[in-house]
Amino acid sequence: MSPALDTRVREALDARAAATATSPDAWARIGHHGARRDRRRTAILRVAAAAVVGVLALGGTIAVLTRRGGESATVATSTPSGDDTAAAESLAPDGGTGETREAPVDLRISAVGEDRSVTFLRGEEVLGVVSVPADASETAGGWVGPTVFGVAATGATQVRLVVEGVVFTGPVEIFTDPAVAGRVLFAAEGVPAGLLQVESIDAAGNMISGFGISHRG
Amino acid sequence: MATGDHTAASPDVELPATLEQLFVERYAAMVRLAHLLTGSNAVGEDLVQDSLARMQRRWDRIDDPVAYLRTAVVNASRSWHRSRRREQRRLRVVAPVDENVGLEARELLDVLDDLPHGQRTAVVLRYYEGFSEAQIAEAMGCRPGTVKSHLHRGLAALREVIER
Repeated sequence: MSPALDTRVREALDARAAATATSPDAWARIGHHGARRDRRRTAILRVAAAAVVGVLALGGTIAVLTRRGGESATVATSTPSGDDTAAAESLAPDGGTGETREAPVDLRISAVGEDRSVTFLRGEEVLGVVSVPADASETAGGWVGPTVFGVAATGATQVRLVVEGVVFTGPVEIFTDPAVAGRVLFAAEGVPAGLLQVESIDAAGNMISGFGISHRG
Repeated sequence: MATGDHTAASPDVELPATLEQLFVERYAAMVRLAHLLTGSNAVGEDLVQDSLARMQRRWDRIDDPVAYLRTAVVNASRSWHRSRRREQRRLRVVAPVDENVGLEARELLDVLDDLPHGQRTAVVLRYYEGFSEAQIAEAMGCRPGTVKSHLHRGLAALREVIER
């Protein structure tokens, strides 16, 4: 580089630099810059936090809705052993597959009063009632005699039992007792132990409701 | 001979212990540098103030505050040039006129203002701060070879003014 250019560039830069002025309140302005930066950071953090909460809420809502959708496709399975509580499982609606999954609901069984009815509950919702006839006797591990199942099935005309893919049929009786009105009774002899799919069916053969239980025969 | 503030280039110089000390010792020099890098006194001052405000939060993690501030000012001026280019597409920006500057110097500064940011920064750091190519590369965060290229192209453009 020629000395002339070198010198002239320096002189030009020095001339502009010499004309530079600084504000007397620069130090205070730096504080303002910092405060503004803090406010911006806080605002960004709030927006980011709101976005994260929103995404989590949306994800949670979708998960809950998806789960509820899945529940409608399953039926509860329980063991009517006479205990106040029993482990709950779920069963695929076709009942014959034997596929079991963890039940998404708390299924409770209770034996109440002299009629020894067994009520299947999901929370406070009654899923079905098993009533044991007076001539039946309870032995260790199960019921002896005709086993009677009831399902919440207003409008049902018959009940179908499926045990390990084998279908059992029998007479249907509609409860008239106001306490269990709308429920359908089904009685069948010789139902073997195993996973039992209980379905109520309308005249057209469509399933109205159903649930599965683990039956001890 | 370089006339800028290049105290930090010497390893024997004691570093400022607080942000306020850094402000007292270096603020005016950094504003001059920023003025040369942006062509605007007001913009340069604003960039230096913002850079100092950024440093306030991370002061404990900064080893060399002077070098850090210089690099921050160089980076801030680069960002400013980028946003200014976007503005220039929409409206014609009139560069401030340097008062009390000779005609030839003003022409040189006009050419300097039109140089790409890399070339302009390299020329300013070389001929105002008196930095070596290695020091310029460190301040700009690039390789010395890139600095050499910036200087060569920037000076070629400035030479045209001298030879006219």
